[in-house]
Amino acid sequence: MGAAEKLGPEYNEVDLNQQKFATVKALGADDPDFLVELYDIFKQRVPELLDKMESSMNQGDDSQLEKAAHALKGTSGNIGAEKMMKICEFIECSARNEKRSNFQEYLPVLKESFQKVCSLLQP
Amino acid sequence: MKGHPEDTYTITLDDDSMVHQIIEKATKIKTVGMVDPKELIDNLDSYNPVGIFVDINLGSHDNGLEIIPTLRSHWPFCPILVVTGTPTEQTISRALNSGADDFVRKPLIPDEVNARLKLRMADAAQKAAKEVVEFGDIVIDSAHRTVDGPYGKRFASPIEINLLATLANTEGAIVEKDALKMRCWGQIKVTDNALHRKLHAVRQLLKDISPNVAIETKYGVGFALKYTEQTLEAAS
Repeated sequence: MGAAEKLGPEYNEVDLNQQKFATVKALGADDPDFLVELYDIFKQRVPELLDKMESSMNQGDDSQLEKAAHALKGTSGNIGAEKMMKICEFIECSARNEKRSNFQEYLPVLKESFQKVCSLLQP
Repeated sequence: MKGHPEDTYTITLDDDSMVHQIIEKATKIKTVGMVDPKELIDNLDSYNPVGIFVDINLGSHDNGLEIIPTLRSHWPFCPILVVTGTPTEQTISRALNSGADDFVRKPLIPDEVNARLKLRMADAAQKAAKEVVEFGDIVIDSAHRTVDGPYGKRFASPIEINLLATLANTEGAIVEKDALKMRCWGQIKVTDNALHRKLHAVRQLLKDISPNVAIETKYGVGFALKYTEQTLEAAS
């Protein structure tokens, strides 16, 4: 079984939704500093939230996992990081409903997608 | 204002500072970004925003919904918009009943954020101008806590005047029981009996000043203010 089947439809989402990304970029059309700052916050905040998700997974703390996944869903959504957003949405819902899942297997996928998105963030 | 931006600004309470930035750019109005609700609650008197955005999932902090009644009672006419990543019917109705005016969804759509804020700012300006509300043949003056009608003028308690103004501001539409409690008492939990006692007092007050305005009970739903023009002879 390939990773896509194992992890569900979220795996097949694009890393960056170009339409949503364009909307955010348009906000900084006359102010490149705005985008630089926004990307910096994103690059700083995502690893922190991924760490929180990982430690709550390790501790089996579903409530903390739900919060961290919710926060990362929002942060990814801000710039159109679609795959991360959808995966976090799935983890948030599963953790809220106490559905045990293969959460750990999503971490490398989230980290990989984060790296890809970062490489696309050019002001 | 004391030591804070004197020009026009909003306040954005969200634990993700990207949201502060996006809201500021989308609305083209400077925003004072905050992460911790306590920072705002402890300094209410220092601010005079033209709008407030509150994330209702504030990460490790309290639920954003809990502070809305405090914000609403401090700034009766300031638009409060909740920001939510999970806009369920329940969270939206709870937010509106707590005193919020509107909501925006995450991921934020900049044009939507801007349109909703500007619309609510226009509404707020209209409401503020209506600190004196006319309904039928009565005039409710919230600032002076008086109600004036064809039979004369009466003073009312703060809760009574708030209750009457809330009903009058909805132009005769039904206000749900819980929404009415929230608008009049804020976070304080009150029994149905307490609400009925206040409604009774307001009904007496209305009888003293006008034969035409009365509070109708819609059983199981809420309350509405009604104006029925009667001749003075019929009323007597």
